[in-house]
Amino acid sequence: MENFSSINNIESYLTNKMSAAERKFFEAQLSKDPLLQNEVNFHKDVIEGLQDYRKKELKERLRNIEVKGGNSYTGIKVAASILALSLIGFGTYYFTSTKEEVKAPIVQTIEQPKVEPSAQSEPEKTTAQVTENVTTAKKANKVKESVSRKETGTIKTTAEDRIPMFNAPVLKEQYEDDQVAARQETDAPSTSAKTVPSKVSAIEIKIEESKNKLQYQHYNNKLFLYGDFNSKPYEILELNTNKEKKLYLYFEDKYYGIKSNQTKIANLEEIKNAKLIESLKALRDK
Amino acid sequence: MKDSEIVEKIKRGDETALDYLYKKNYKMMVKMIVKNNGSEDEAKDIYQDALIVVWQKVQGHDFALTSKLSTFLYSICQNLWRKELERKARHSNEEVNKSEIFDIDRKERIEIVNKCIEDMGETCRKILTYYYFDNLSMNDIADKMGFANADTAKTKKYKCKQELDKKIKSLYTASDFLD
Repeated sequence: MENFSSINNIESYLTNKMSAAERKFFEAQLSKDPLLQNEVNFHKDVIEGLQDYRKKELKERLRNIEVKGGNSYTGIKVAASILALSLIGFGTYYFTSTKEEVKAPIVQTIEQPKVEPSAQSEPEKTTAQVTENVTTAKKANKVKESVSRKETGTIKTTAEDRIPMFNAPVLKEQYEDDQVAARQETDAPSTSAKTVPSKVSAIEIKIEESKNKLQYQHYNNKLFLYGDFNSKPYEILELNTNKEKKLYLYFEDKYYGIKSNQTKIANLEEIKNAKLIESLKALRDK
Repeated sequence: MKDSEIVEKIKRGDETALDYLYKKNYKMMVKMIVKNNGSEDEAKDIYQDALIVVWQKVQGHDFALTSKLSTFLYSICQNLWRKELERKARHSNEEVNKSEIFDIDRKERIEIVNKCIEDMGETCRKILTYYYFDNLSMNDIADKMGFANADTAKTKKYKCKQELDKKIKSLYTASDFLD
């Protein structure tokens, strides 16, 4: 059989896209042509390999969905949840290490609801966050030491918390002066300068321990922080202006800007603008 | 979300529909398995498998929903759990599972295939897995990948597959499987 057409035939055959007649004809050919049999077996292996890969990927996705018991969280429940979630984390680790032979780090998932007065209003949102622990764990593994710890912190802030900052007219100027903002001009397409009452913003944060520099990226609607954040406290600050909300990281007495459109790993850049630091300080002291 | 909406989303390969279904039916399915002598971990595992079966069935060209999606999912879940129980029973009786002993050549070949798939670029891998597992049309693949149109997706799919085949074949011949 000619090469090109036979590959198409093999594909249609293996993906069940042949009519009954075509199938019959193809199988007749197949039975008397060992080379064709070889080719079919080859493509079968490849296609099955691809299918397996995707199946595992989807399963990982599901495995990382946290299904909560329906009720929303209260602070008192946190201790119990930490235990439960680390068990799930262990389960993930156990599964990957046994069935897939992927060397995954021990995953510890810890919920840290800091401020969540209005969690009840949007329970769907919290649960809708799919964490892909394993995928990211693998990624982390490539770059870093074999055992890394990971933390999931869900930080919620509400419009109420920020209203004083929100209305401060000075803030806008300070913000616009800021070097980080200046570099970001390109990514503010929405020109509506109206004050949009911001709803609950839930940020899911993942920590990847790294001895080197401080880095971050947005991936899968989550913020990944790379650095030594597990041993020292850090804070995520959210500044709302009437244009957009901006995130900053406070760590070891320094402030860093977090760009919302950073999807590749980038270094955390320290904020030098004194006025901005001033307002971030004010925000922290609240 | 209505069942019809979920089906539409699944057919387009929208994974959020999968997440939604998972959460919505979680309690019922896990409960069913736990009641039938399963541990919670086993229950989750089987439920996840069942959901992926549903995902793939819905994506089949001839799929038509004849019952509620949750009923459909429930019956698949039950079936998988029954099979798992049978498998466990067999295992405790027989010491060696014969199906696990297949020829070493084949095992090695499959390892090569998996390695090559893992090493592939992400774009290619996505296109090929969407095509071969999720049964997505070239149009849907183009949408998901942000390509201009179905033709682009088709060309890319063809090239990616060709490249993958070539890579695998070169490794096969290197270890003298063929010929």
